[in-house]
Amino acid sequence: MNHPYEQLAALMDGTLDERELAGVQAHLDLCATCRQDVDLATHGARAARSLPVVDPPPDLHRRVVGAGGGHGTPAWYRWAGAAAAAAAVIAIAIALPNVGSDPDRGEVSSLAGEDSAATVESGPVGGDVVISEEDRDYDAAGLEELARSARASRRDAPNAAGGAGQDATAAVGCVSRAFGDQQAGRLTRLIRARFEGEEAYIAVYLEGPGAGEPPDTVAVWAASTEDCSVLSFASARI
Amino acid sequence: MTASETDELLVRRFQDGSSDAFETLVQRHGARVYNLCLRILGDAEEAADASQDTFLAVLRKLSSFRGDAAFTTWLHRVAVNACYDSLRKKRRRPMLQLAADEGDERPEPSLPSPDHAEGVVFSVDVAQALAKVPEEFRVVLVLADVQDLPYEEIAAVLEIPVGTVKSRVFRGRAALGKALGVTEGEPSGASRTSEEEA
Repeated sequence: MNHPYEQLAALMDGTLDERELAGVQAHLDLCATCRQDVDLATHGARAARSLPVVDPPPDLHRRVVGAGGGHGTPAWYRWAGAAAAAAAVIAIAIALPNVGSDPDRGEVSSLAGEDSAATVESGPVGGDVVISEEDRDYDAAGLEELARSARASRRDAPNAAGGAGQDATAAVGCVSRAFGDQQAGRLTRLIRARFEGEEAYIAVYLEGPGAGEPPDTVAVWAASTEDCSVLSFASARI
Repeated sequence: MTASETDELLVRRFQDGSSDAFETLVQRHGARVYNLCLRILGDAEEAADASQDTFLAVLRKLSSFRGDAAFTTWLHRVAVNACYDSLRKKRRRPMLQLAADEGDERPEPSLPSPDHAEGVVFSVDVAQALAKVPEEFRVVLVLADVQDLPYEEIAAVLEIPVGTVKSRVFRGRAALGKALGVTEGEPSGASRTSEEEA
């Protein structure tokens, strides 16, 4: 026997017209299962509506809006303000990583020990992923600077040196966990450094509109090396 | 004052580079998104993570949001998708798979600590029973009876026909009633799969 669940929902809502009501009632007279389900559904609806509204955890707002860990205005907001004021090419954009799902899209190599300043200014942003170490404590402004410099250096095409090792693999895995499965950008560079005193991976992504179009945004994320949680991010329009 | 602005106006201000429009949207809808995730996932920590994923996805996509659907409809869609992602991840975890193989004895979902004692036992029972409602019915049930969305909006959120929404709401309610042990007896249609939907 087919059970008229849609009509039974309407019965509960009191939205059946006279003819429909007669049809549903005729079914209920014959179907013990539906009679029982109506009783169950009546209790179930009342129970569901009785559930209290629960306050979200106090850190949710900070996790979303203040990804910088409560260190004042988030980086992308300051950037947005500057963009509006100066009509500059900088724009609000958030890129989430695209690592792990398609190994052909970015190979990880290691440049541990390379001069940090040179790495910042000349890292490749369109080919292989470069991972480097820096003795530097980034802050929100530092991430913005990195995004701008990555945008500028996109014209360069330096070689990605070194080989993929366990450290690089762990780093890529960490940022992948930090930024989840939302894949809107391609990881092009990883830096092991600090963010506001905390050991961090700084990840540089390129994001584009897709459909074969070239990337139009550089996004820089910071993730804790300890638990791979998001610490901050910034972006710049290419 | 942003508190009186519509969501659509806030979205436009965000797209124009406003520094506080997104923050206002988060403040306005944070509790709603969190409670949606909490009731679908049945776990406070997973709900917080899914809520974070929701707003980060919103932030990433908001600049290209065209307003074809109402912002709240779109927000619910993003949140439900974040919950589905979380549920998929949970299913992939070996421990849970093992538990399921051993008789579906999943660990009880963790629940938030209520602020008041009145009705606590009942709401905990309901929350635990809700976790036993099949996923496809639970999502619709939560949207209808917890989030209080009209059927038409649920249909838009999930991109399914309104008739399917009504059918799933009814079956979700019946499954919840059964999970609460309201009546005993012959098997209820609430546990049948959606393939049998009218």
